Amino acid sequence: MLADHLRNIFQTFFLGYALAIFACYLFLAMVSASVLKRSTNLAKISHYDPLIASPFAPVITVIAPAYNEAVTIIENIKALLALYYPSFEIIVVNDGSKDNTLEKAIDAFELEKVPYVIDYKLNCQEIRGIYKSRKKAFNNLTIIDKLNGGKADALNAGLNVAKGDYFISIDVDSIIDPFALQKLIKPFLEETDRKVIATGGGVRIANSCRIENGHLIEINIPDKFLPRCQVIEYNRAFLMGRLAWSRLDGLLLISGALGIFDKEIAIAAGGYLTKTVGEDMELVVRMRRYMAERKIKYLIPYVSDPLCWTEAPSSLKVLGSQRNRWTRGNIDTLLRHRKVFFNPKYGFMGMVSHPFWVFFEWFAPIIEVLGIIYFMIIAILGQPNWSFFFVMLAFVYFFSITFSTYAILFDHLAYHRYKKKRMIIRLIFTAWLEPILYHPLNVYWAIRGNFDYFILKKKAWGKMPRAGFAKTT
Amino acid sequence: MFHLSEHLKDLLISFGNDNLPIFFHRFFIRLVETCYNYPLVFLFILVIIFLVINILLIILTLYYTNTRKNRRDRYFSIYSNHYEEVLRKYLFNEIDWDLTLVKLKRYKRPLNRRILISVLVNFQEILRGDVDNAMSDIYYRLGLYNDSIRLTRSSRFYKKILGFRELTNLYPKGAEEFIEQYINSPDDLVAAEAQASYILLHPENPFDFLKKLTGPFTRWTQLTAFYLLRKHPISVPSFAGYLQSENRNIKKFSLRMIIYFQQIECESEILKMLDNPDETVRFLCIQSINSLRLFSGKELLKNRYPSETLKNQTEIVKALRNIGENEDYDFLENIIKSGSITLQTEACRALYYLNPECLDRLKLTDPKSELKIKQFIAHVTDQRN
Repeated sequence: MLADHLRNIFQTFFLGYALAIFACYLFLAMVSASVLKRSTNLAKISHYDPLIASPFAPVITVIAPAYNEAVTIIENIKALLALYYPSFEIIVVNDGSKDNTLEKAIDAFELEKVPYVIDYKLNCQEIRGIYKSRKKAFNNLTIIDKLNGGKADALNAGLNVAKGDYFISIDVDSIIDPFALQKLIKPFLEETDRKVIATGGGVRIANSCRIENGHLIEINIPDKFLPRCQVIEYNRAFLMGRLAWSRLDGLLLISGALGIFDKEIAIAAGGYLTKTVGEDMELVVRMRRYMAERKIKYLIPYVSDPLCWTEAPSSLKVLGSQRNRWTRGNIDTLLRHRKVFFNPKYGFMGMVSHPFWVFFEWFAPIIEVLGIIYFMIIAILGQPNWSFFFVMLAFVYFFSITFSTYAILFDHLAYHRYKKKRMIIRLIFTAWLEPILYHPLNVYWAIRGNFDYFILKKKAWGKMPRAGFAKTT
Repeated sequence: MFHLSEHLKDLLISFGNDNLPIFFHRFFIRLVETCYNYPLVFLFILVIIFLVINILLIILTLYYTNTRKNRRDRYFSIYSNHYEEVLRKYLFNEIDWDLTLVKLKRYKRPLNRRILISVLVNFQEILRGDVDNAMSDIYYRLGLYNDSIRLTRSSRFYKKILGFRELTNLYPKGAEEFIEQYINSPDDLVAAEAQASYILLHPENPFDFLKKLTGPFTRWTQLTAFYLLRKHPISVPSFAGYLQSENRNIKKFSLRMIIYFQQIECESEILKMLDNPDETVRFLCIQSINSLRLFSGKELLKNRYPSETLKNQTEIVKALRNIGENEDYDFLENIIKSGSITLQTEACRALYYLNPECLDRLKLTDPKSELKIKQFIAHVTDQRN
């Protein structure tokens, strides 16, 4: 009797949870569709000449932390220098590289150490020197040489030297769209009654794309299965998730690969936190808290255009390490800001976004595994309802591929980047395999992330070696 | 009803028995029975069928739209190039109008008309001189303005904006009639475009609409307004009057324009802005005092200094570099002794470049205090910092 009662409770819980998560994703997808439609139509009539030709364009600082990037540093800086915007500076932070990253940059751009008084508005590891070029052509390039302190520490060092009103944090090895700055700054210039404190940009996968001199020449579908799965995953996350969260005023995460922030607010909120592996999400949540606690109306819009192309991990080991870190970063941020959880003082973020991340981002893989364990026990006891099981399995599978197919459709209708039919067919085929082959791995890495965070107390980034774009062309 | 559902159940079971492999019979019968016993399972099966149909429809949509988009892109590219070539020949008198009409193939088709209009707008943007009015003439003679007017009546914001833009550039008379009514449109984007059109359509009084503006005048629209002001033969008004506006964005825009066009006659109005509650307005006001070298504002700035934000304090110190005198040495020296690093650096820069006397005194400050004046001087004398 008690066993039946418990069984009913468990089954109702798992079913209710699954339906709730699907309903949330469906709702987010619908909101995203309407936002995407508007932004696509807006793109048809947008022109940026008034900004590009203006002496009043706000100054933007591009901060690119670099650690052991000797192989690609010159090309990457060249690509950054070619960004199409009237007033911007580039700060590359050499975060105590053990290779000759700094020396290569010094030689290539004729840099020399300049006398510089640093205003340490944010704590960071000791800055050993500031380098600027003797050539006028590179007068907007600054290289900071500092002791190693991690990505967040490097970004803080960059912020201490930044002159712009806004700053963009990027991964130095990512490919930034030449028009990214103008597109990212636009929401700040369109603000009305609410202060725009940050804007996120769309990130896409560059594996197998043709890249020359740090510029994207030809877009292709990744040849390998894992990066291809990540193409679909990124489409889902950026086009069906973040777009909606931004519209609903609940965006908690701006990708570390590309985001623009109001420098004054970021510094006032305390800059990047060095004790976390999820510094990108943590900063956004802290900036939001800063504004909410001072009752200042604010906004975090999101530009869905693919503005940054990054190399996705193509080996299980590297991908696992990355997902493990993402999980630990999420947990850390959610726990650090637990005060926000269901706190009406923080508005939509407190009542919806934060709880959503707790229940459906952090808990989802845990509940999924618990569900599998529960079913295995029932199966061993010989009590499963197989019809119900197979119907549910089919429902989950088809829901998942419907969702992914819509993500492909959204991307196709909005940007039409994959022009060949062959590319689309490969993506659809990947979407059919992804729930069977790729999703279980993600669940495993998320569980490992939880284990590492709570049991092993792991705080390190983990290694993230990259093949480099030269090899992917 | 019950009999009907029982009949359907029997039908399904017999269908399974007749058509499905034997090993699957037992499972199929159990599935059908479960569906009848548990309506939830039945519901899920319906949802699955719906999802599968949905997936197939999306795949078809993907296939169809991909083909259509590729064809459309090609079509657009071919006809754009063709129309550009024909118009170029017409504009340089290589062919006459009748031949031009013949060569403008398919121009009566809606899509081709859109292509032709976009080519005309592009030409209008880049060509100057005798051919300046030729684009409007072609646009009018081909009746393309009707297409643009139709767009302005659309309920979709982007079509409306496109219509405004085309009419303003190629048929101003057609736009004048209705553009004013959209200046305060509830759609910010439509309002912004109407404001830009107003500036072009009223070159004598381009900013009169600001007096009637009830909505925001975003920084993006300000940039557009300034762009148009520089690009087209539009008279630049005195912005002193607009500083009285209650809209802080108009104040900010006016201050920026005063700086850019060096409207020194606005001095008294600028100085009044120093008490404005908006931080950015005060910031721009300080910048104006600096840029226009309004020496009368110096004492006001120094008096305001203690109550200002760090950003504005920094701007005041920067201003003193240009409007300061020997008597301001103590003021700047105090900042070097007590301010933040940014303020210290700027104060040092101000003293360094103010005049040789201040520079000498600055150098003498070093031995007297623990301040690392030499480092500051090294920093400010390197023009790259």
